[in-house]
Amino acid sequence: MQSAPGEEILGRNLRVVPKLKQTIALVGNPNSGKTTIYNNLTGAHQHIGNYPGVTVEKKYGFCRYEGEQYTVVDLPGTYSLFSNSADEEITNRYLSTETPDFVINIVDASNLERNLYLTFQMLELGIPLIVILNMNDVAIKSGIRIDTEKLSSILGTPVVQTVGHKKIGMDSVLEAISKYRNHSKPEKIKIHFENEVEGAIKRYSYISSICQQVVTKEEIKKKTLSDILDSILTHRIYGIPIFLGLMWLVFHLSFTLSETPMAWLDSGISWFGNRVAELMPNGLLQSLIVDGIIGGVGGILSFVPIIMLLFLSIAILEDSGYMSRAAFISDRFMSKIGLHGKSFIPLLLGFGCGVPAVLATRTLSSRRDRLATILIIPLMSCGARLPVYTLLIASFFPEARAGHILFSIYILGVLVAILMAKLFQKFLFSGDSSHFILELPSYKVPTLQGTLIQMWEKVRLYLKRAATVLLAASLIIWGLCNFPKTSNIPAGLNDEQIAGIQLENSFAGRIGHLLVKPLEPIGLGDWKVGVALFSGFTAKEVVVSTFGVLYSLGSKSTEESTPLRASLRHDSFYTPLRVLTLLVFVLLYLPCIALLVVIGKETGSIVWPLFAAGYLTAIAWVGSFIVYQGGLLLGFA
Amino acid sequence: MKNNRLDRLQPGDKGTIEKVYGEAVIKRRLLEMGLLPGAHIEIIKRAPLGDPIEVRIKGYNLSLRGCEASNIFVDVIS
Repeated sequence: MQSAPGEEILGRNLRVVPKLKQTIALVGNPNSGKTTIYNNLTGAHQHIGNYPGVTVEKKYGFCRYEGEQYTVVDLPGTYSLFSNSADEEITNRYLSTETPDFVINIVDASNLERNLYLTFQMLELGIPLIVILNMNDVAIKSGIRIDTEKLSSILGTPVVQTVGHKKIGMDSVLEAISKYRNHSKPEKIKIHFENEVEGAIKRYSYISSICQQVVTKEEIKKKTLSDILDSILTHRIYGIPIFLGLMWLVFHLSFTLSETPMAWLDSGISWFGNRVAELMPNGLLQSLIVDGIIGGVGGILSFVPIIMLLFLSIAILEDSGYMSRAAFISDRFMSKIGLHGKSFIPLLLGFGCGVPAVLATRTLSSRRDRLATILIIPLMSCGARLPVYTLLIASFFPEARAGHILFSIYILGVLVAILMAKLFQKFLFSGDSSHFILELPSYKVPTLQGTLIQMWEKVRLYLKRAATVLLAASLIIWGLCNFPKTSNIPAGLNDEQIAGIQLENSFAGRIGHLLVKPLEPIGLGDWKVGVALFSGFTAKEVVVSTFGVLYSLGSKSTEESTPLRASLRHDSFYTPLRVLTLLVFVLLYLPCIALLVVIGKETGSIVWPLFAAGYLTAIAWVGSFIVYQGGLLLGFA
Repeated sequence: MKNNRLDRLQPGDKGTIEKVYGEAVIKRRLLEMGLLPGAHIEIIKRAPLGDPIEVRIKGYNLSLRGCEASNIFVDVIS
C-alpha cells in the first residue's frame, strides 16, 4: 500500500489499518449472466488459482468500492446444490467448505421460477445472500414485471435489478454489497421433506406461490428473436447443414485470418534469432541460445494466432448460446458412438489444445461419458502438431496439394476418433450415459469483453504449457544432441561430417538408434526420425525444433541458418510415402506430457493417462503400418 | 383429455404434467429443472436427427432425450 506524501512524515502508525477483505461468491444458474457480472465487478483484476488439495482452478478477482476491497469468486453455474456433474460439484463443495462471507445469487429475471430453486436451497442452509435479478431487459421484453421490494421482503434478502451486459445496475449492486457488510445472518427457511424428490416438489410449490405474488406477466404473442433464430438454426432440414457450415467456418477463418500475423511473427523471430547469432561468438553458448531456445520456443510462438482465433470463435459461439444447440443437434449421433451431445464442445476445443478441452469435460455428468470423451480428445489434432505438419508438408509436397493433405490429416483424426469411441463403447465402458437434460437459453449478442476473457482463459493454458514445458524440453533436447562429445573421430573428414558423427554418438543419437528397429516396419527406420518422435513426448512442437537441431548441428554450414525444409528435402531418407506415414504417426501417437498429466488429475487415476499413451501409440504404429506397407503394395516408393 | 407419454407427443402439443416416474437420480433432476406434476408444458420440436426433443417449461426452453422424456406423462389439451 502506498503512503500519501503527508503520511510519510508523520509515520506509519497514523495510517488507517485496512479491514479484512470480505469474500463474496457468485452463484447462479448457467446462462444467467453470472460471468458477465463477475467481469463487471472485477474488471481486469482477475486471477486463477488453486483450491487447496484439489486440482480444480479457482477463479477469483478483486473489487473495490468506497475504500473497501472485496475478493470475488466466480463459481461454475449450477441448477441445484444437489450436484449433477463435476462442475456443479465444485460450487457445492466451495459453499460448504470455504464458507464465503456472503453469496451474490444471480437470477435470470426472465426465468424466475427455475432460478429461484437454487436460491431457495441456499436460504434453507442459511447462507447470507444478495439476489441480483439479471437480464432485466429480456424480462421486460417478454412482458414480465417483478415487484422487487415484495420479493425482497418475502425472501429476507436484498434484491437488485441489473442488465449485466449493458452494465446497468452495477452501482446498486456495489451499494448493496457495502451495506451488507453489517447485515445479520438471515433466518433459515425450513421446509420438511423425506427425500430430495419430495423436497423438489415442495420447494417449487413455495416458489410458485412467491412468483404469483411478485410477478406480473403480460401475454406477448409475438415470437421472440430467439424463437425465430431457432426455427432456422435447429430446423429439421436446414439445421444440420447450417451446423456443419458453422464448424467449417470456424476452422476456415481461424486458418486464413491467422496467416498474416503468423508470417509476421515467423519473420520477426527469425530476424531476432539472426541478430542474436551475430552478436554472440560462435560456440556452444550461441548454439544453446539461438538453436536451442530461440529456435525451439520462438518457432512455436508464431502458431499462437491460429489457436487464439480458434478459441475466440468457440467463445463467440458459446456466448451467443449456439453451443447448446450444437449439443442438441449432435446428441443423437454422439450417442450412437458412445459419447454425448455435451462432448461436442470439449472435442472442438481439442483442435486448439487438449488441456482446456479435457477441463471442459467437467460438464458431463456421467463418468463414462467423461472418460470416453477425454480418451479421444488427443485425436482432435491439437494446434501443437500443426507446426510439424506444416514443416513436413511444405518440405515435400507442392503448395497446391498442401491444403488437401492437411485437411485429410485432420479428417483422418476425426474418423479414427469415431472408430475408437465406438470400440470403447463396445468393449470398455458399459455404464449409463449422462442425462441429456439441457437448457437452451435465449440467444444473446456476445460481449467483446466476455469472449476475449474466455478466449484468453484457454490460450493462457496453452501458453503456460508452452512456456514451461517447451522451454525445458528445448533445452533438454539441445543437451541430448550435444553430449556426449566423441573424441574417436577418423581423420580426413570435413566439418559437416564431423558434426554428423558427433550427433550420432550423442545421447539423442543413441536413443534414435534404439528406435530404428521398431520403426523399420512402418518405414521410419532412421535414427533422426526416432529422436524427433521421441522428443514429441514433451510437447508436439518440439518435434520441429528437434529436427532443427538435428539438421543444423549435423551440418555446420557457413550460412547463419539453413532453412530446415531444404535440409529435410536433401535428406535422401525421405520419400513422399515415408513423409505421409510420418504425418499419420504424428497425428495419432501419444499426447504430450502436459496433457497426460491433466488427464491423470481430472480422472483421479494414473491408469487413464497410461492407457491413453499406450493405445494411441499402438494405433499410431498400426495406422502407419497400414499406410506404409499399403503404399508399397500399391506401388508407391 | 388424453394422457400421453412425453416422448410420444408431437411438436405443438400442450398440456399439464400428470406424473413423473423414473429412478431417483433422473426423477430428481427432472423435477429440479421444473418438470413437475401440475406444470404446464409445450412440445416445441424434435432435433433434426429425431432426438432429443425441445419443450417449453416454466418459461424456458429445455431439451431432453426421448428415453428421459418417457418418464413423464402429460394430460394433453388439444
